[in-house]
Amino acid sequence: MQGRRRSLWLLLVPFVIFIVGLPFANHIHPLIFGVPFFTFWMLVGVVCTPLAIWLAALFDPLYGRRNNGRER
Amino acid sequence: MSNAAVASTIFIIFMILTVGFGLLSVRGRQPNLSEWSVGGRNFGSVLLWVLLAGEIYTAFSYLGAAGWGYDYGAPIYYEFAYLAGGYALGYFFGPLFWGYAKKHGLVSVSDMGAHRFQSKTLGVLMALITTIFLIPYVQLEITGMGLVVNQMTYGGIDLNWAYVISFVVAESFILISGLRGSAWVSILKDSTVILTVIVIGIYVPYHFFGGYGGLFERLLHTHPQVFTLPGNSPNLDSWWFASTTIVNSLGYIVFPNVFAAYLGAQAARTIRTNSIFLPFYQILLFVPMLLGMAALLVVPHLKDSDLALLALSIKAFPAWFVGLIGVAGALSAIVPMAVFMLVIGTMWGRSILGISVESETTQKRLSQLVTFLVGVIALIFSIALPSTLVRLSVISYEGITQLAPVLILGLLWRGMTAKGAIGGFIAGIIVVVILFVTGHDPLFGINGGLYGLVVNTVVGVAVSRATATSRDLEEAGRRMVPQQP
Repeated sequence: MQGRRRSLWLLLVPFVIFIVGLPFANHIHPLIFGVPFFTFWMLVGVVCTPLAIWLAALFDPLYGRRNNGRER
Repeated sequence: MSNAAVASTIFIIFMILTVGFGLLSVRGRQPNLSEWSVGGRNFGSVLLWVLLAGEIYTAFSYLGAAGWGYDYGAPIYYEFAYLAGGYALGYFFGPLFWGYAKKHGLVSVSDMGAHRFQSKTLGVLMALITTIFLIPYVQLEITGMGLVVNQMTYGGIDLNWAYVISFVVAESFILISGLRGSAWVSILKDSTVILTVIVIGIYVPYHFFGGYGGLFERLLHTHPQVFTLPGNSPNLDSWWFASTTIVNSLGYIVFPNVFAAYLGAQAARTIRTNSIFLPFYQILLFVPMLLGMAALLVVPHLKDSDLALLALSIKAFPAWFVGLIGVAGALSAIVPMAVFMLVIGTMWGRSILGISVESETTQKRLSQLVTFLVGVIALIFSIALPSTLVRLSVISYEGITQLAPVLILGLLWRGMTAKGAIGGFIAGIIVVVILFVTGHDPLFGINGGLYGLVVNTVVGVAVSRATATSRDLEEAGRRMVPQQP
């Protein structure tokens, strides 16, 4: 059952952005629309996290399942 | 009317509304233990969203975000990182916890530990240690609320009175309405917070700097170092940022108040949907963080940096809106504080005082009693010994995160035994406390909680391997099916 939930690897996206991305992102330049790069990178992370979780859910066989564990 | 009178009146009216709203939520519900402590496991997507948003984005986190932004700059972005990680982990682990608790009728972290490992000792241990780390948080919310209310009523409401009001309001609805009361009050809280933060976020930069462009331009000119790690701090660098993200995101999913909200969900799907939508709330956090940094330009040399956001707002807005900000701040303290008291109460009522009590009605009474006492203790400390417990709160998150290996490994691996769980948990706590007491946290730049987690896991797995019998495995396996609802 666990093997078929391959889309859950997408849940690692925030960790990649916020941890693996650190050495590349911890700079002031380039400015993006006047925003320092590290601050912009945080915004990227904040916006991409829900998108990644949504994609994970979209392809998660347990998410689409009927009843979803509800007993009634 | 004077500014103080206008703001105080608005504040008092909203506090009365809050109590009314909280009490109304319980109408037509069964007064049993699971209704009180986990809302009868009946929260839909919307109510779960407001409740979790209400619990996570606290008065302390807004003031603290602005305060850290003011003191250090970019290191405060760790809040984005660990919450994002926590939401992602919550998608997977939330339903796991929910399914196990639902199958066995469990209502708290310690309840689950005690049941999974069939060990009352573990339940007592988890409840005790978690309580020690959580009470400082209750106090932080009380003092945070005092600060907001005192400032935003222009001193109209005295600090100690503000503490007492937060205690009375929180206890009055949590004792009667339980978790559902908090969820309802969260509706009021989240709407005032979202409204005021958006208005502050748009107007304050415009008022002082002509917009965000001007804000960044001026800060880049005078304080460019605040925009990268380690900012103005001596040691909050990338290693600290990364390790804290890992520790706190694991801590987030087992934090007893978040855990209680998970258990309150109607279905596994509710939790998964919630993980998709809750992260959007984070965008609001940019406001206190950036304005905290910008306050360096407007109100330099603040004595208490936690006042950064409030000081800017008082300068920019008329009294009635300042009063509304005070309401948003007060509710942001009351909701998490009430839930902290509730989860401590529930742990004691089930896992410590109610350990040999069969009747759920008695367990609920005991839980309510402890919920009340915890508030009293935190109130007394707030008034009489304000800095004593706060020192402990620095490692609260690291300490509570030590629950993660017990619960996560426990639900994923049937080979985990009671002796392994107890040994690992104690070892993790000891590591965290020793590093903190001897002044070695962070150690080599890495969050002390991470060392705790590693030792915790290694000891837990090693002891379990050594002690597991085939009967343990068989019984654990039976309790754990079905694993993923």
